[in-house]
Amino acid sequence: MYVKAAIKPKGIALYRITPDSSSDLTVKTVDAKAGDEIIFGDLALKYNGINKQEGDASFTVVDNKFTTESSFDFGLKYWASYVNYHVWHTSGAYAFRQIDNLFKPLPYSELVRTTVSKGDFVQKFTLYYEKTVKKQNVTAIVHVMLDHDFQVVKVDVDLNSLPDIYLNGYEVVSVFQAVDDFDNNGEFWTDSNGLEMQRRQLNYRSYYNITDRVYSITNLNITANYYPINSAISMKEHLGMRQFTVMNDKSQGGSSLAPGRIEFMQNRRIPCDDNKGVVEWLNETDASGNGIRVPATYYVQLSYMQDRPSQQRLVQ
Amino acid sequence: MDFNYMNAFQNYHNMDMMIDYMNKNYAHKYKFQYSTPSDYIDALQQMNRTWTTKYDDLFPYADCPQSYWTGYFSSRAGAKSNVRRGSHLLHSNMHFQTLASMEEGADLDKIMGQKELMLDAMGIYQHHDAVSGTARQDVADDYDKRLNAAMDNINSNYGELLNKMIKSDSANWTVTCSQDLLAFQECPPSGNFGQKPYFMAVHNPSSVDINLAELDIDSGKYKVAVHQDGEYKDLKEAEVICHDDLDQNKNAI
Repeated sequence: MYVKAAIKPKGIALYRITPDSSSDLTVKTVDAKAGDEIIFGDLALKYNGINKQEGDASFTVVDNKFTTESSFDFGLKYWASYVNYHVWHTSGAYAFRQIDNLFKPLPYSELVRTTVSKGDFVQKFTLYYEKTVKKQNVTAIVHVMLDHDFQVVKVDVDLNSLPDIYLNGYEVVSVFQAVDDFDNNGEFWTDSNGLEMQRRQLNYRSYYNITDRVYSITNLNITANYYPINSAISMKEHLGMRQFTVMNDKSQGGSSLAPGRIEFMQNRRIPCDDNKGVVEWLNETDASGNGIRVPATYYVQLSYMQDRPSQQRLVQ
Repeated sequence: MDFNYMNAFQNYHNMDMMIDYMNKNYAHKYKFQYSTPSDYIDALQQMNRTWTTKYDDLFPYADCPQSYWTGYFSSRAGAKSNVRRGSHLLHSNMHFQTLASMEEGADLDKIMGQKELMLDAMGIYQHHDAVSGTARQDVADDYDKRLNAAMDNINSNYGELLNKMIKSDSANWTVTCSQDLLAFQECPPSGNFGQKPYFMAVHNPSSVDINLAELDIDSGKYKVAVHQDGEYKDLKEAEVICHDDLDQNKNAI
């Protein structure tokens, strides 16, 4: 249930919710098709269907005040963990290392259904991900709506249990890809413990040469570019005026490995110890033995810098 | 290193012997002594050198070329969101604690006790193997248990304080429970409240306006009223959006 609230800073509001058969507040939910829009204030979010190449859900943010449009894709993917009981340096609770020769995350589940709920007051898209892996359901539900407080798109990713782990581990990432040739020239910013934004350059360190021989033969250009994200990853177009910021609601690892792409690691489940002192697999389960369910919320802002100021600090 | 230097007697005994030996035999070249950080900084300053400035941080750390410590940024994701929720609760509750402690006859010991329990749990969680998710499962569970106990403790008080501030309908508050925004929890105790009204108090501890309150609720028909100027006024701007929690084979997602 969504209730309109107008609560001042430090304020409290009290609501009474009464079951009442004469009052139906339920919003009609129908299957979404490409071109469906949800609207709040000056902004509209258009669903463009599934991007055939990647299997991602594609959205366009339409800014009716400044008549601009910018598109991004959302996808759930995973890095298969490097697991080897005869090798010292594997993936584990400390270290992240993907299997050799994997340069792009694999599709995690399949987007089978998208619905749209268009109420007078609240509107949202719901994405259902389903797939069966070794007789196990690999599912997730994603809610996408326009935030009522700030000019951002709110993406709630409710990631269900990761499948049981046999040989490979799962390191699931939520991927946001700004499209239409968004090129940040390998440059992005991540927050330093919620404070100053630190400039990051893909495959580069200011204080030593990272791309030495070992680096290029061991496929470490994924894990070496991961940074701790407490509140946001941000990037701007190298030659254009668009800025792309994705904020999160808890500490996560994240990176930008390709032009216009922002990814956050949402959950990990790895049948291996990385020999750094834990001496256990990273295998978190709930009371019934399934992997834990990890919801996370992301706030996406993709806009032209001259039009809209960054909402990052307000959301934070 | 973890778990080193646990035996102080042994360590100091060895260091004493080493210092004595070096000072006895090599005093013309070196002087060995126990130092402190301020001694060290003083010595650096006396060298009168110009130091370089470092602007960026040192992330990510790698202890050898094949091993980047980038997994712990995300390990134990559930615990990481729990810590963030604890931090929100700790700070938002301070507002209430301040109000509560200004009341006449306020039980300051109780209020401070609750705050300290929370600060304790949050403090312990900042350990480099706690919030990082690099503790063993049993230890991680214990950190979680401590934090949840502290959060429950504050939540129960939160309800009481809200009741006091609202000063009405408190008799109807048979169950008080909290739902943090955006978190999917087993709360409210849905399906159990039949035809009785259900009250929701929303606190905005931030420094900006909030315009939308979200609540997990059973599908059904409801009427919503907002408390204004001492009475409840019907609110039109409320909507329920249902979503399936069954997949195509009718299994629970």
